[in-house]
Amino acid sequence: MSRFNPINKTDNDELEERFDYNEYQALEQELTDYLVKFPDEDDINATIDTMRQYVPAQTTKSANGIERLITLCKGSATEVTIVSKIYWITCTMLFIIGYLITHQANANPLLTLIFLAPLPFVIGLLEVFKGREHGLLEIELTCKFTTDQIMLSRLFLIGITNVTLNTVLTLTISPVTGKPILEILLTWLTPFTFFIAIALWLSIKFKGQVFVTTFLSLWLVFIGLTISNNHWIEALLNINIVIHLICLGFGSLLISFQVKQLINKYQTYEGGQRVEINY
Amino acid sequence: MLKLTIENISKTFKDKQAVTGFSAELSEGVYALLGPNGAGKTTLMRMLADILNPSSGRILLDGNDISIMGNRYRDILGYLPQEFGLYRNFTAIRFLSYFARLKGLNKQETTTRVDEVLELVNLQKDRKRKLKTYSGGMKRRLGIAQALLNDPKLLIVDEPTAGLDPQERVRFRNLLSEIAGDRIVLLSTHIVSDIEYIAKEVLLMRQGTLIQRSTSEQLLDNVKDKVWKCTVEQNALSQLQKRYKVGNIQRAETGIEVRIVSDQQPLADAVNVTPTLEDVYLYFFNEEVTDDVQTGML
Amino acid sequence: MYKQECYKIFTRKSLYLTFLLFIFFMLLPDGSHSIRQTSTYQSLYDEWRGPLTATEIDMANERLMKLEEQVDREMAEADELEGVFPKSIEDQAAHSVYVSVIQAGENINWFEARKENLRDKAFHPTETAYQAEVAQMEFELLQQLNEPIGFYQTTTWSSTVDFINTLGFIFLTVLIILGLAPVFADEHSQKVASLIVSTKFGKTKVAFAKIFASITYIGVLFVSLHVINVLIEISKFGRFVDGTVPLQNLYLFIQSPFSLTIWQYYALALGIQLLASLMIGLLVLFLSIITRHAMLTFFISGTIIGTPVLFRQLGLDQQLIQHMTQFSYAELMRVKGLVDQFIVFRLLGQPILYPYLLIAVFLLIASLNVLLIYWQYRNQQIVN
Repeated sequence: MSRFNPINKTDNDELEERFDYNEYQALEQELTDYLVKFPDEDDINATIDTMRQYVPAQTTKSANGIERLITLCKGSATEVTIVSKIYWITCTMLFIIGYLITHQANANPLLTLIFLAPLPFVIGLLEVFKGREHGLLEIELTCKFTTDQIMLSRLFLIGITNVTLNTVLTLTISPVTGKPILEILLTWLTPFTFFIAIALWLSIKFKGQVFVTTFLSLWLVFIGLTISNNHWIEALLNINIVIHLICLGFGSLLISFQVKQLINKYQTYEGGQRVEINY
Repeated sequence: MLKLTIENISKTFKDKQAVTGFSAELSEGVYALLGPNGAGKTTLMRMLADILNPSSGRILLDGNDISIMGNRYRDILGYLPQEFGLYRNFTAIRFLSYFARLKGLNKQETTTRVDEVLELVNLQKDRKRKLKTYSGGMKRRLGIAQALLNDPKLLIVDEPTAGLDPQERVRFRNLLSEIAGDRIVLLSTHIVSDIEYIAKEVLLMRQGTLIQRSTSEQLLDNVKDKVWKCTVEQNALSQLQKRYKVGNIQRAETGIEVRIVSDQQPLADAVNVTPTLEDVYLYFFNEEVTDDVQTGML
Repeated sequence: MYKQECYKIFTRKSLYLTFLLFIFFMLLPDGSHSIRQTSTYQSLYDEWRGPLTATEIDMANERLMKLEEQVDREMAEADELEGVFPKSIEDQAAHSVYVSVIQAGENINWFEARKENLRDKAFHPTETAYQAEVAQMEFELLQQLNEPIGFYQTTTWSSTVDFINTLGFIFLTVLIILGLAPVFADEHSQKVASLIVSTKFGKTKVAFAKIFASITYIGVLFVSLHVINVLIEISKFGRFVDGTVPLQNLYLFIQSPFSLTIWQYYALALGIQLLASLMIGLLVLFLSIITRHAMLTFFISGTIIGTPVLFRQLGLDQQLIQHMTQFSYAELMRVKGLVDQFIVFRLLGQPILYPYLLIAVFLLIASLNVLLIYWQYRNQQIVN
């Protein structure tokens, strides 16, 4: 109910009759004492600072993280259909090739795994940047799910795909090598993280064609060098576990750094402005 | 006197007939190619620019087949496609010099000519900037400059004014009329006002064929006494649009003022008004009532 | 025109990035540490350097035996078995020299036996006329060599020469493909093709300008890569010495029938590799025209060049595959395979040496390629 009753005529009249100026002044005086002045900024800040300690710790953060993860998964799930079929076919082919080579007697399965590990992701990056390559960036940026979200969910999707494929391949070769599964996992995961970081960096810097070709060249040369040099093979296959973990951590750090850069870059149009020209 | 003869040329892509039996003879002056999207204008212009071979038919310049003339034909040709790219890391000067050399200008000519065309398209002060910093209109203007480098006797420009602001469009129009003197200029557009002022003749094209060729005055004659203007109520509008080719719709105090192209008087209170080329366009190319147009025209 | 085409190629940042990364790969240590750079070894080496006589080889054998005994003693004395034996640098250097001298001695014997064998073959009645002719040919080549093998220190040379068929081959090929794949293709992806083709020289001269710019790129790339390599080799293994001794003193070329000194071979190999680079360049340019797509060009040319290498790596040795490998861009580019063995092919009943045939075949392919590029470029149609 409103405190300000509509003033009808009778009320007004009544007021007029009863109005006593002295009484009004006294009342005003009394009310003035209750007047709260607007505090200056410092006071406000001080108060906030004081109160901050009573604010409950942000328990929502992990929930938020999980929530974000769920959104990411959902986003990725929808991307499955958008990512081109050719990509899935390529991945399957790569997996089959990997399986065949690792099960061939004269090829070192671990090396093969190291070499093949990053490929699905790198080819997948083409899909991640599909919008950019086709000049859709501007439109994507204005949609509900913006470019960076789309890219992130695609990255997540291809990352998961890649790691899953590699892990399955690892499981199939573990009886062949006779090494514990965890060790095999680590063996390919470390170079994998570095490759991914490099690929991400290149993909942010250069347009699709250039980055895929550049990356593949580097990758090929790396393979060529490794195969022709026993020292490198040994270095790759027999690092002790601590160094492995450190390298892995460093590689992961590089990746997260690149992902962050990517998100920052594609949140605004200027960041992602393309090499492409319409006229 | 230069004469370009297009002899019954056709172009078929895998499953699509883009241009069908197009014939025309063009002499010096500005010609406008007018038609809706997908009419085959671009394909026709590409064939004229010698970057696409016709499936059948010939194009002759002063009686010589251009596919045999080769270099000599392209030497007098200036071409600006509808969609084109620029090297992002080139400056305007570098870009134009490159094309000047491609067009066979020697060093001396290149320097002077590049300066001239830059002046012509008003890019003189941006000439040392990288092209990636250019705005859409500037890129377009640079494209025009490129086409004019070799002082072409035959200038083919596809949608040259798309993406230019009104002021630049007027400039470009004037530029075309200025240089049109002793050369053939063929431009395609669907911005009708471009043509009105400069085109000697208009070629109307639909579905790959030439449906009419005349001066803009003659074109206007086509729709003389067929353009009506009347004021209607809001709710009557959709009815009207179904039955007639409705052009401009303008809100007025008393209702909605509509412009209608029709052989008969559409409404009792409709009055005849002077036609514009826009009405002509509507008359020929309104999709919904295409059949009427054909019977009305042929 | 030519200048601008060069500008287009040379302003691509990704090429510089890749080049620098490759240089970085070259600088990575490959784990070989050598006693040969010590002064002790050097003085001992000067003593033994040169062609070897039978007595010298016997002496080396004797001394090595003594040294081995000493090593056994040292190992018995030492508590643990780890570390390098013999302990003193002098002994290590001596060990290295004796082993090399003995190895060289064995090589000399093997070489003589090979000649003997060939002489037999050439005049043996059971061989067919053609086989005899081939054997005669090889014998004559070997005859020209006199006694090529001795004891020389060729580390720097062998590493430099080796670069041509290993890293040099890979880096050059990759950079050529990366650099040239977009030459024609990018005009389409950048939508400039229609502008270019409609100009006076747009269908003719510009194709050659592009080819010449590509050649320039290859030349610059080739020279800088090899110069950098030479500098790296010197910093790794020291100065170039003994470049004037026969090629057969390099371990990889011990079977080579050709009378070349090491530096002559190096010069020849550089020449052939440059030629091969140009031919690969032409192949890439051609693919760039017909695919109109840089990435497709990259993959197709990569497949064409890489498949024979892969076959070899996988050890497939059927007749057909072997021929495919022998007459591949990769083999020409690596040069080594042309010179390190005696291979002949029968052409019109005549034996012809493999390197001559290979180069002739590729010259033919290259000239065909140029024509195809020109023809294809001239007749291109621009649809979008």
